[in-house]
Amino acid sequence: MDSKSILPESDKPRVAILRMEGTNNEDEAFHSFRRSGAEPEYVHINEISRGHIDLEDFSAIFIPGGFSAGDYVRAGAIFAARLRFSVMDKLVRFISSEKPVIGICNGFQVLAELGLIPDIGGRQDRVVTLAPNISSRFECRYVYIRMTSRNKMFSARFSNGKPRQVPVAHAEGRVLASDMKIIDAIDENGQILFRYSNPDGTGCGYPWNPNGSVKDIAAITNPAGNVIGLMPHPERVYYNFQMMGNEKNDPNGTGKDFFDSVVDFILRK
Amino acid sequence: MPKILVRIEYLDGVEDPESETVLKNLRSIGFGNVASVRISRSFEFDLTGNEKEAIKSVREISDKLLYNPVIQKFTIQKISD
Repeated sequence: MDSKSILPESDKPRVAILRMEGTNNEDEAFHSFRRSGAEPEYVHINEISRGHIDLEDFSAIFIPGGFSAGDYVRAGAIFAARLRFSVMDKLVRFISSEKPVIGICNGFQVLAELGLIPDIGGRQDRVVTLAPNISSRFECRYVYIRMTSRNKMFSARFSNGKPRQVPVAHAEGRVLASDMKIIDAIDENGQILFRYSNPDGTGCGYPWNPNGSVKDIAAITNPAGNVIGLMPHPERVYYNFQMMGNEKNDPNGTGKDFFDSVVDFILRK
Repeated sequence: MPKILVRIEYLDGVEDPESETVLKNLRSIGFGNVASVRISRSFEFDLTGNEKEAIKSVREISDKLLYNPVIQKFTIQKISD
């Protein structure tokens, strides 16, 4: 048994899993955090806006995937507008304290809409977005990603450069910036956490890059590395039997390594 | 009660797979004379107050929610008083 899973309840880091109408995969994220030794809690955005929940009481925030508010207007736009209206100052303080904020899929879109990633200038400018996939399809299948930064949260388990299998499920995942210089800057800053890859790590291109993201970007961070937007879904492959093909023989699903990394980072702080 | 229309569209040069798909399929059903397609989205608002206040509100709504300046632009048009 993993030593973290037998931590006393009071010593387990609390993780807020945000939800509103239309979010999904929060159950997979909840169980992934719990299996990795954290104490996850569902937090509805109404509880935040009514002041019933204080985000500062948590050690990490997770924004799940799905179709928040039906993805009406734009993917993640309404969720982001609600957060900006009710807790933007608190979110910025939370991030300044180096606690992790992770957005997956729709959560990535929310973080980009809020300007919390890449946040190069520290002013939460919106400079990156997730545009419709070049294929004009909802891409729902397994892909591979490899770590391409020195992010200390994930370096222990992902820095060997080995492509890791993980599923994607999105129609709007193509990372675009208002200016290519921004992409170059986040690349130079080490903010491109994961890139899509083919299975042996020798190249990419469609279908390995499922959406046409510039520079094959699958995940980016803020400059400090604690705000993470990720398009694939590690929460769906916690165990190796949830993987496909030869990866079923890996000791862990990619998700276990991902969530273990986040919880270890919190506990080290 | 002013009625205001906001139109959201992609910036020039942003690739829009949805428009490309419509164009391709229009040609495949015989409309070879269609040179290009641009899909946009519009929102129609009925607001209280005068026209100046209404347009100011709709501009703020557009900034805060309706459009993403990374890839989109918007235009505002008064439809009726």
